[in-house]
Amino acid sequence: MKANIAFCPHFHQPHFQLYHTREEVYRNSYLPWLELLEAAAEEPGFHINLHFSGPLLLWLAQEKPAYLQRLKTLLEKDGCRLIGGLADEAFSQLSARPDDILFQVREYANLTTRFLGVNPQEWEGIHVVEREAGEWTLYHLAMAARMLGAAPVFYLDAETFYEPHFNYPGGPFDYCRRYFGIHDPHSRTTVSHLPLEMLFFALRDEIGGEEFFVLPVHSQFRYCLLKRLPLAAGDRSSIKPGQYVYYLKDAAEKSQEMARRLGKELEPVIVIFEDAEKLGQWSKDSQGDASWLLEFIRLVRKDPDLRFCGLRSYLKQQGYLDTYPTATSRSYPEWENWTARRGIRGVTFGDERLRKVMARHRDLERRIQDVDRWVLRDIEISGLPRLLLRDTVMDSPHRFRLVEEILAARHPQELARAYRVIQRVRNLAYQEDPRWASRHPSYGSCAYFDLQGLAYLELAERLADRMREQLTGDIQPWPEIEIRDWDLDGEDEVVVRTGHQTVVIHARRGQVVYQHAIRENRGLAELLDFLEKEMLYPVTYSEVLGLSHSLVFTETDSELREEFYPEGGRVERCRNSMGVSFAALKDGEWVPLEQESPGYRLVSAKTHEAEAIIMLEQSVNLPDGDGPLLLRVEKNFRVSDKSLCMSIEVQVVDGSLRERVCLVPELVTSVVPSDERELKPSSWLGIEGEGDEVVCEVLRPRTGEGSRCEVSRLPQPRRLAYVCENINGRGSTFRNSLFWALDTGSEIKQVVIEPAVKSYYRGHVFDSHSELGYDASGLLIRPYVEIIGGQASFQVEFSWQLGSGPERDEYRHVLQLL
Amino acid sequence: MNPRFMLVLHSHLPYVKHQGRWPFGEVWLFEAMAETYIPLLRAWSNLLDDGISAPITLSLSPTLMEQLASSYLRAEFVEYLRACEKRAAADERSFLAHGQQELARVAMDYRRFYQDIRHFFAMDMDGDLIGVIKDLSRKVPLEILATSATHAYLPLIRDRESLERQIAVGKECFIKHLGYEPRGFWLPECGYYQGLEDILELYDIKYFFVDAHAVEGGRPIQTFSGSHPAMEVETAEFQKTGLSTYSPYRIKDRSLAVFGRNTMVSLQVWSKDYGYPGDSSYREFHKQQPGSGFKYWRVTDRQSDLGSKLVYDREQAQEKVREHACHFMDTVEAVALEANRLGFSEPLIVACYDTELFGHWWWEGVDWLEELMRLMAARDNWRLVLPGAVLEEMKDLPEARVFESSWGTGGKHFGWFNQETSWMWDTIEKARQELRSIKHPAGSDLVARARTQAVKELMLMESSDWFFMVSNNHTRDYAVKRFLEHYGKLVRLVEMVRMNKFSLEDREWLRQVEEEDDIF
Repeated sequence: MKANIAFCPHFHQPHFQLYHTREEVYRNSYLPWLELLEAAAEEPGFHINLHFSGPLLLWLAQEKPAYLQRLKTLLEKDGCRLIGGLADEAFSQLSARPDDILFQVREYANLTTRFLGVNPQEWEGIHVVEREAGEWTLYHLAMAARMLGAAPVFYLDAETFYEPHFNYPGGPFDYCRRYFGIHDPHSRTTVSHLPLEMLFFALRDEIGGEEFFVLPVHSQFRYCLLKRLPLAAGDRSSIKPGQYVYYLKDAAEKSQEMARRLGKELEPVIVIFEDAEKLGQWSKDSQGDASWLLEFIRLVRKDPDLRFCGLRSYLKQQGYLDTYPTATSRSYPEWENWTARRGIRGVTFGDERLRKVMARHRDLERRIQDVDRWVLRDIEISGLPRLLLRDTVMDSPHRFRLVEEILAARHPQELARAYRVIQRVRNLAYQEDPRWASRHPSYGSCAYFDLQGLAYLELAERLADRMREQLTGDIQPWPEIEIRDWDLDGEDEVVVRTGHQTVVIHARRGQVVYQHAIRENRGLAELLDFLEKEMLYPVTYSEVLGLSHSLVFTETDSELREEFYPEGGRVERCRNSMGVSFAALKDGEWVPLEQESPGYRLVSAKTHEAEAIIMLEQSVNLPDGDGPLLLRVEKNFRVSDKSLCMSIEVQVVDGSLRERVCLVPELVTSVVPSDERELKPSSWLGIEGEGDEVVCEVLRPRTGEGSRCEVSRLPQPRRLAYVCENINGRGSTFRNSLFWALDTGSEIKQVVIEPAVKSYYRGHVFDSHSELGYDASGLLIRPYVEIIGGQASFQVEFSWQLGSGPERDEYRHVLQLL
Repeated sequence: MNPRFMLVLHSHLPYVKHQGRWPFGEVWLFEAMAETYIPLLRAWSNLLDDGISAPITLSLSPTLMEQLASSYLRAEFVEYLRACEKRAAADERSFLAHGQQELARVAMDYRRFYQDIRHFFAMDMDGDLIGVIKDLSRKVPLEILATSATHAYLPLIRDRESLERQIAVGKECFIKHLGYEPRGFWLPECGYYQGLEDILELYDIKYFFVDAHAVEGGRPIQTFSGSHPAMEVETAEFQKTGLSTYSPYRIKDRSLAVFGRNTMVSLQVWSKDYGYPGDSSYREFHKQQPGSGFKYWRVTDRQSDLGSKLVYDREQAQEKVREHACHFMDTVEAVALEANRLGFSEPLIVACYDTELFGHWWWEGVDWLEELMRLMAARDNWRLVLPGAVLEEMKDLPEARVFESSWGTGGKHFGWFNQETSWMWDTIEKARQELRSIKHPAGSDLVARARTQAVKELMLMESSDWFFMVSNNHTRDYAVKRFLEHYGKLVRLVEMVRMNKFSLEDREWLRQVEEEDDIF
């Protein structure tokens, strides 16, 4: 027997990764890997298939060029080969455009050619992001490979193909039994079925006529690789290299035995795919891991039954076993566990926060579609129906290139450049990590990646506006107001854009569900200049958050969870801004009141001069108060260029107040400080007030002993400033500052200050990840305004200052939050 | 107070090589190897990896050592493991197909278990369990005990020649496989009678073990009763001696030392009523999946019938393992405190068990032992000790006489001598007489070979196992068959020697018998 081992480590750090993390993983993992590979590559019989993600290559090029040079030298040796992939490690299946995968692969090809001297024809295969392999993705990847001359060879998890069992009468898919309660003797799997042991060969598949080859990845060889240390308390399993080799040989032997039953005398291949960071970074023991790997390599090399191989070279030598179609939207078991078998689309659209990012993508894609249509509408070929070419191009994998070429040929150069950089930003913001990592039970919230992505998306959208203006001659009027189902949840939102902000107000909930601000309303040239510098080859460390920042984009909040059943069926809502609740004074404490309401009714949404005015109203019943109380609540939003005003009028319309009741508006922001270098972020809240003192409760989470509540007394707050310090990877510092000016018809009785979201996905992700603080979730301010004489009113004007802010000594009262 | 804990595991299987595969025969050995011996060695190796060097006293019966060393059985064992893995995979597929996820998970665990055992046996251990034990003894304080050649129940072998042969061959076999002289001797079934020490001393044995009542007197505790339902157990009553198992003793007027098994810690593990293995979370031994024979259920309730058993949950069982290890630790702490109250500043607690209890009978038993060793190692005041070291520390042992006794049902010999087995002892006596009749034969090499083989057949007849199986009505037919086959062979061999005639057929038969029963 001769068994082939295709060793495929995957090196990846996302765009916008923290400086601290990147440097740590570089020291712990990437450098030891390179040293190991340089030593191993000298030995005959060694072969490895490396995949370096696009974002990591870009970071290496900017920060560690010597490393990249050494990698290039390494790849000149016989045994070291590269696997292709997507430029931004993007989940392009989420995109609205069919040409993104080709764009991604082509851009990645540019990177490997430019930095490593490896062109796509030399790639050993193509890395599928997270092996998330729906038919759409595989089809487009195979097509992209064909167009670039790369081998359409992928490694996908064996589970993608394989159901471990046949169906039997009485089994889980015996529908007669399930629905009619009778035994169906024909509830059997009838199709041909390769046993799992046979999935150690290359398998062919085709979708829409696009042929590709898959080498299955068997999870056990991922998980057992470098399994030296405990995973959890009580885990005493460790696997030595000899044992690992034994498993490989055992599997190869069984697979060959099975294949012989098909009459095939092929050599099996075992793909060992694993994150490269497993060496050194996960264990923090680079030396121990490297010794393990070197011993493994030595054992394989000296074993007469084993040899290392490349993916493409294996296929070339051995051919494929059979055509055996992949299942649709299946992936590896770990993934399927936490995505409830719905894959990345399920994760993304099933989550309120992630869906907001998708909504922003769709906003930009809508605008760029307008540009495309405009550009294509003038292209006519005589004899062809007028719109045929346009419609063909819109669905073509070459759409981007064609429009870019037309723009370059027929319009001012900056339009083609703008078009290109928008494409770059849009693709980049689909990178996998914000979606994958932030919803993985073992990783944690990574809103930081999304915040940066959203910052660039906003600027790209503004650039698209400028492009459209230039193409059409129509100047974008501000404010722009639309009523539509922005976040695709079946309900309307009012979307308002001004020169300096985008605000989305959920009509029924009466809350600001998304708000984004930019520092300057720049023209095309300025925007293009900035985005090209930052994004054409994405820069490693940026100050974009000082220019463009999501002010309301919070994490989902476990306190706003609707649980359907305890096993996990639930909906978790985001903590949005400018919602309202009520509280009653009971035993000296303000206790939240249940409220019954069908939600707000959108009375009107219109522009008036430079403002957008949105008027909402609702009736609220407070059943658990001291007797039924019916309230009428009117809420008005005024969105001006650089601020957002919200006013609430509450009036008792039925029943009478027998106890003290407060109106409690929720002022929320997702803005947080950052410190990429030392991970010691800083933020503070300045308060100016007047009049009688008010109780101020500040929640201090994560003190090491749980949360702590600090109580102090302040004058009636009138002006609040929230100042966050940001330190980027280069060590440069800037501030972002938010301001609330409050006005009330009656006294504020209490102010509660706490993290915007204290926990998300509680009980479903690790506790340490679920619990959030001021450093990760932003800020929630709740003033308690008493209803006196059957009415109360509250007004807030919310404004901001990006990239700068006030000094602490400008405020009489300062609460250090971090 | 500095209590000492001595873990003594007695390992034995009857000679089953070439004596049937399944359901009775070689599979017994393979099961014990896969489920007990290899996991146990792995556990001690794991402990060592974690810096825990846990002293252990191990007895290895000669029949077991001979079989573990057999190249035939080593190769067959690998095939057995492959077959188990395949059966488990088939069960897993079938369970999944029928939507029985919980059962499928257990089947998957079995599949992985047998693959891992195969790896450890074939690769890490190079197929040589005795070699691994020898290797381990260089890294871990490990004392190995000899025992009688075919695990004969010695108190009933009153024939001096046979008795001496059992001990002498047992010792020779020990030296053959381990390369040094044994110091301690495991009396099969803790079976002792006064006078046995004379022979042990003759063979330079320094110590042996007996059950608690042999030292302390009183009524033996029925720890492991499984007697024939038709028989009424005869329980011996022993006079209280005022002695205790917290210390070893020197046999009166002899240089031999004796260690008494601690009742409390034995009960905690063995008792069918409240011993750990009967916990509802542990794997049920008696219910098997038709076809594959794997056990997929947990005890659920000791009293419940097999039909009402719930599916095994490994994590729950592992949780229980940790709980029981802690409980055991608390129990021995309490026992030590009691001993301290009685004036023992360094009480010795001797815990003797059949090795096969752990893993084979009690599936989680090896994990429990490993956990216990970790707990024990973590306690500063506790010492895990070996018998040799204890005797070296305690030069002046108090003297004692110990009672004729065993650890079996009734406290004496009932488990091996009763109305069901008396005919077997008569048959053994007849076999001895047959052998005596050719005591000094003259003749060819064939005569010598036939006589030697006849002696082996007698020794195999003397195995305590057949008596135990018949008494307890466990695999009785196999035991009777084996017993009578060995007797039949002996009779024919004696006849051949007596006649000094060897036809071609006789020669071929002799060769076959030598191959079948090629012990020692």
